[in-house]
Amino acid sequence: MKADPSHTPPADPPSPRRRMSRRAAIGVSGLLGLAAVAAPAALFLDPLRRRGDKAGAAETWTGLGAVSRFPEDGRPRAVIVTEDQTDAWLSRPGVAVGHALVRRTGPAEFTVHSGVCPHLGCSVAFDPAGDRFRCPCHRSSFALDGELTPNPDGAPNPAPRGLDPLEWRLRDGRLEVRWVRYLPGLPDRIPVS
Amino acid sequence: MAPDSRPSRLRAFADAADRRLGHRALIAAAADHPVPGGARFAYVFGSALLFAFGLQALTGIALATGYSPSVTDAWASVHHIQHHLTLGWLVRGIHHFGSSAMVVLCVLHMTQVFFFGAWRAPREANWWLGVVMLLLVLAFGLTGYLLPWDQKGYWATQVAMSITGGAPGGEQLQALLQGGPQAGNLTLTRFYAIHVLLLPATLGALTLGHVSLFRRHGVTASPKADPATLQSRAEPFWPYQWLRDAVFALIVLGILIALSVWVGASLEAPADPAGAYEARPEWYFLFLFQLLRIFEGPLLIVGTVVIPGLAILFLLAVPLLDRRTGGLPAPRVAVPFVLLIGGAMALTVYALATDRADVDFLDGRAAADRDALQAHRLAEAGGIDASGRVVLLAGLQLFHQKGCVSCHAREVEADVHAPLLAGYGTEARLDRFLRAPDARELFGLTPLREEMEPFGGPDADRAALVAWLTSLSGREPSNPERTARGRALFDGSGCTDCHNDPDLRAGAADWELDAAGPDLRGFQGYEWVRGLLRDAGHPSWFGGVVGPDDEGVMPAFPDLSDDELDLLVRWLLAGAPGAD
Repeated sequence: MKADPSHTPPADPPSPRRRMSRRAAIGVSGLLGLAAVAAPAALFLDPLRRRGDKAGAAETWTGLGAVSRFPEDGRPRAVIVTEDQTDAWLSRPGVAVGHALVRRTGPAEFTVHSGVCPHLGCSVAFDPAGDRFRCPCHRSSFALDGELTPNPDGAPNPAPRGLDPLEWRLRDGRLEVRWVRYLPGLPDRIPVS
Repeated sequence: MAPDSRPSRLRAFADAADRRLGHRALIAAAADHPVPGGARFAYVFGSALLFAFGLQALTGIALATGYSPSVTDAWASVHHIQHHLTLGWLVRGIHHFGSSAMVVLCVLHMTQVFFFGAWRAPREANWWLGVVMLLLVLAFGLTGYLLPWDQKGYWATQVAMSITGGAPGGEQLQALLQGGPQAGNLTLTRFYAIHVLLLPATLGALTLGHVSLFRRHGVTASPKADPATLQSRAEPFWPYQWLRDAVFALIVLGILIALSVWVGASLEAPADPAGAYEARPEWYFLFLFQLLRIFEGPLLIVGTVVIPGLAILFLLAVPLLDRRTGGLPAPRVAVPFVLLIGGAMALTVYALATDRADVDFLDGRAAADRDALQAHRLAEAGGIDASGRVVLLAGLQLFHQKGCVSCHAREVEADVHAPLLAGYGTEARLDRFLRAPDARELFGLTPLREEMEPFGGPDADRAALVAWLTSLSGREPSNPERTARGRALFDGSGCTDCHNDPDLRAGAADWELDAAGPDLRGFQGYEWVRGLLRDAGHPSWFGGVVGPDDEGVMPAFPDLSDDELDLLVRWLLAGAPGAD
């Protein structure tokens, strides 16, 4: 298969016909490639076009249950947040999308944080021993008011910001929140779009 | 010429085929490919990778015949592969552990060729190809373990996507991988397409290039060996090196089968974005995981991008940093290489050791294992519906979410607590109820206490009553021949003082239905239980006994949707598994 250089025919200057044909061959092949790739690539890149479709806070309020469910002891409770969800082709009612960390500190006083870790998106839980919130993945640690707090054992606290507060309101004796996801890993709160 | 002409005919056919295909020259070239210095076990890793890649492709194709990539189907289909399809557990086991084997073999292969200097001129391009192939192998792992859509895959991918999105310019990449703002159907279809089409095609093509370049430049023998000796001791690839390669591949396959049999590929509970979970990636990503725990706040990017990026750049730069033509790797490449491999191993061990000493992690891990087993059992017992829910698991989750458990639990602090539900609807529980309705775990701590008298008749009579009452729900009692006697006992034992005749049909006159006790028509059948959950204070259930507004009786749950009610009823009728 290896070409022997000594057998290469002497390089004649290419004829005009050959030159034209070469240019045409390259041009047609390029066009062919582009035409073949364009549509599949566009389909593959579809998510880029869709970014921002559902930006920002949810339009709807999500009920977390009767206010009486939450004793006024300031102790956090993890409450599942469900939403009617459309995921590509599938619409489903009442899908669990995450959990809220709810503390009731007075008759009509609540603090509500998202249970999505602002570090890298794991699921934050209440740590009764340390009276704080902890993330089981990378050991992020948050005080009950959601602010960053050092780990009791001195391990690094990798989270870039405190827990994300969720807007809440009381309606007909029920607690409702606006469920929002923010981009994890950043000091600022930018809603997922 | 032999009397039998067949061998010569066969040979003639083979000759004719070779004139058309030219396969003999190809095979001979591969078989006679010289191994300088003779065959060695040090050279087996590359072939073992080829074998493992082929094995992943074969098992992958088999798995794809049973897999369905969607949030509703993924877990269910993998569960079906694992527990119902012929040898599904074994094929999935080999594929699952095969991914680990690929990573291990890549590292061994890379280490071997690194110290033999197989990246020196003219083999630089093949080293670079190899580094890219290693990254592709890791990409295989990352895209693969999301596919079951279980807790492990879901949460590990959450973290991976967060890392991607937080890297500079990573938002677009995250969108492309994830398919939308959150992990969902399109994440599965895209990961699946990448995992089974894009990556195999790319890695396959690069493998062709890698092997071709290897064939072009030949085996790199130990840099310490004397060239003349290498030459004199050279052996052809077939059968000497092939034998060693095959023995090693057999050992690899044996290990994969053993792991599948004795450990098994895990399938955790279905992905639950709202649940607590101690997320960990696959073990071969633990060193990266551990890095994420070290860097605080704005330094996050050092762990996610800078250090891994520098490591890859270093590997690519190896041939440029030491450009001598022979000899062992110079310290300026050997030291960082050893640090890189050693560091990754140390971080892996450190991550494992930290977890082993972390009580919260161990508790969470044990809970995840329990959840996995429970999901499996409930899927077997009650099936999976069109929404991809494990029906009985969804009911059990509602039992917890809707607060039912705050009264129907063994450990309740309040003075009043409701009956334990374990075994609901079973003949055993009904039997206990007839014998002692006021038992502590039944109605003894409710306002219905002392409202019904125990059935004091002999055991056989009670069994007959149980059989007949069970038949009211439409289910077949275990002793159907006793139902007639049960019916007679009901009429003759004073039950009718409080309960109306359960055999009354619809349209019965009001006076026939004015008994105070619960209406037993369809007792503990689907509609009966559904009505009880809707409004237990209705006169047809307990309202006639304690009055409709008695606060001690189970409250009505108007918030429950029809769908939720259905799931709860189906769960109750399955004996309320997991309620104890």
